[in-house]
Amino acid sequence: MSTTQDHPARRGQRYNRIIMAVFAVGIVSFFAGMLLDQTFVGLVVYAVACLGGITALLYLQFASSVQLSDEREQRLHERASGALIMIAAYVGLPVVIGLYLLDNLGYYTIPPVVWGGIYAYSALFLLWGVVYTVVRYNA
Amino acid sequence: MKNDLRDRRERHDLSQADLAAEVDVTRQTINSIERGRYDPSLELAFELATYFDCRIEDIFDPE
Repeated sequence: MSTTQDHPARRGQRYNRIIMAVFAVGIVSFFAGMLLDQTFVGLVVYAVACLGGITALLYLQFASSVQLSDEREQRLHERASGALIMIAAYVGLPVVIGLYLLDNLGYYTIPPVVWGGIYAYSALFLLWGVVYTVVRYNA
Repeated sequence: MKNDLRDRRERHDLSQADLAAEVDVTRQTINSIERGRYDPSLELAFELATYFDCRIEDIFDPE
């Protein structure tokens, strides 16, 4: 039996790794630019790498027959996403409630930047609810 | 879920990569199934059974 034969799942895995490497290069360049006082250059590399990576991902997912991940990898993604939402809910919600209480009791004034975080946190769950509803009705 | 995928694969003189290519998943997926860390979808279970010319329950044992 041949072991070197390329097949769709393996090809998709390779493309996926290449795209993740492109993202990594962009992120490393961003921080390297800041460290080396070349912020703009780092930002340009970061933007090109990330936009290129996103474009490649969108193309491969929606305009090609390449399957970027097999069923086990998809299940891992689903489990990781579920775990992330659970952690965000169980850790984030008590923090937000605590902040509201402290603010209302006059022990602490929530600064604007924290309000921004609270709004972003709330938007995340709102978006999750919308996506869940869409997925549910299409299931 | 227990399975005898490794025994069957070795009897057919296949590497994990060979079997992965036959059923179009990654080698890591075959490895995870053999180690009992991943239960395949019904579709993949059928593909494995078809490849080894047996029934799904011949490979997988729900215990």
